[in-house]
Amino acid sequence: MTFWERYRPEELLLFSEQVYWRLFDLHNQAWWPAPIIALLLGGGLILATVRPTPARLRVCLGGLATLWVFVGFAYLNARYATINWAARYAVPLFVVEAVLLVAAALFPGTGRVRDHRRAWPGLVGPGLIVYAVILHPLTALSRETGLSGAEVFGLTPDPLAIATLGTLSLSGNRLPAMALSAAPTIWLLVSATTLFALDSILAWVPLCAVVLAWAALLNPR
Amino acid sequence: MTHRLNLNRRTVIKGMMLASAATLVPPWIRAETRPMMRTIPSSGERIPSVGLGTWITFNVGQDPVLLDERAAVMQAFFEDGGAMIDSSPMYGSSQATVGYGLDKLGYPESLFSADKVWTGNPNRRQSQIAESLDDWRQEHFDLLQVHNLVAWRDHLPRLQKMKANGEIRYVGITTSDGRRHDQFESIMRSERIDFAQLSYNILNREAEKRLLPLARDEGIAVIANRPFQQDRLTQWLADKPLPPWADELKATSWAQILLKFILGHPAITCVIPATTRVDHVRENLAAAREPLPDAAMRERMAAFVRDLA
Ligand SMILES: NC(=O)c1ccc[n+]([C@@H]2O[C@H](COP(=O)([O-])OP(=O)(O)OC[C@H]3O[C@@H](n4cnc5c(N)ncnc54)[C@H](OP(=O)(O)O)[C@@H]3O)[C@@H](O)[C@H]2O)c1
Repeated sequence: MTFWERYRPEELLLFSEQVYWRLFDLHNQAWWPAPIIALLLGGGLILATVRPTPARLRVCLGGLATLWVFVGFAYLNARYATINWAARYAVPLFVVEAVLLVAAALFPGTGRVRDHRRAWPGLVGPGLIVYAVILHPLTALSRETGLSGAEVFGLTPDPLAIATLGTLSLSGNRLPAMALSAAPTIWLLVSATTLFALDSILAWVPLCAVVLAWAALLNPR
Repeated sequence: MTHRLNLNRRTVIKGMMLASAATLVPPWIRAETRPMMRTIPSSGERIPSVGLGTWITFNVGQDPVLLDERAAVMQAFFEDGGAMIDSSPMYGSSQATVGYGLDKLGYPESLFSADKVWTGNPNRRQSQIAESLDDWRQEHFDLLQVHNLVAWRDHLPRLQKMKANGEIRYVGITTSDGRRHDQFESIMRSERIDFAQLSYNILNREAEKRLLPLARDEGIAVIANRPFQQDRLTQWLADKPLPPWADELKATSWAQILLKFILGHPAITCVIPATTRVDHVRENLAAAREPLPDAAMRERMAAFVRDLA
């Protein structure tokens, strides 16, 4: 391969892949034992959404709202911003999403669960949530840090955004669900761009999550 | 060159110990292992011709392990005779990492601090410089540059005033990857600047056409950034055998060949490769020794690499 073929337009990246992944390790250490609590919360989300009812869905949306605020400040603002000053500009996005989720949790209509949950669009939601809570942290096994550098649902943005899209795709109220999906989608696209620039194969994860979630959101079945 | 902030008893004693250890090494041996010096035309001051960049490599946040690793790179850099460290408020936590290293090393006297102003808002300039100084744990910078010419009309007069007041010693401008060379050239012609920083390497020789000759004519020191095109050159060349003429240059790696090519241009004052590794920083400083290629040899080198590409 020649030099010119290797040349890639990643000029805007400020940090290395090693530093990026090690942030999760530092984050887990700093918040220990919060990763365990977050995993338990994630387990609760899985149970609640395997057989969703309107009340359960609304409780989940309220819970996710809290986590969006927490991740916005504790991860983006306090940790990610130490290596990427642009991360601070994403904090308002996380706060807006939290406010919208609270609003959704308070309005009885949004709790409506989609019909035909056995059809594939209905399975996307639980699939994304299970991936975000259980499988996504395991991707850390392929890295220098091992599981201590796992991206844990509820503490870090990608699995939170994936689980949120999964939860929203269960809603039978498609328009509000799509509006609420905007922020997680934007975040996951930013994350995919960052990971592509870092040359990480994991860049496909947020991208696939967005495609799957929107395929389900747009499908009325 | 450096302006110390936290000069406590321990750092003084540490400095004295280092100084006395240094004097135990015979001067001819030390001279042998020091990088070649180059003159800053506007002052006549001589500085080592290989410095240290910090983009990406020093942006490690608050990671204690990586902070210590970068401090080790800085230690090797100063031990082997380096002086200029280049950073910017744009580089995430890089300035703070430099500050951490300087503090850990007891504020080496030989530091030549080169930082930048990077804001489109002239009202933000002073607070940004103050924050940068805080991060570097310094009281003054040796060189302040207008990063990528951002708001240069506002910043340059103020930086010149700072120089006149003795707050900084040199003023400069930067660009990279061939961006805005026309404007860069016109500033070099019309403004009083001491340093021009630009991208220059064996495959990116655009600066040779106008900027480097102009720098010589105007008496402007030149800092060459991106000598390895941010590791793409070194990675791409890594599995290629060294050319037969590497011996003639006493170059033991591709990195040294690439640096010697740059230093072979008489307009270059300092080249600032960035690295995360102690062995690489030593290798880079060691490139700044005779022999350097003359014009004919440089053409041969460039043709060889161009053919590989
Ligand atoms: N507009 C501007 O003002 C501007 C723009 C660009 C750059 N700059 C300045 O110029 C500096 C240098 O440019 P750069 O950071 O783009 O990249 P660079 O110096 O061209 O390349 C840095 C890369 O080269 C590798 N490297 C260093 N020494 C090596 C050696 N001996 N053997 C093999 N690989 C080696 C490093 O990897 P290892 O960590 O593995 O050694 C690092 O990833 C910047 O850090 C910055 O301070 C300024």
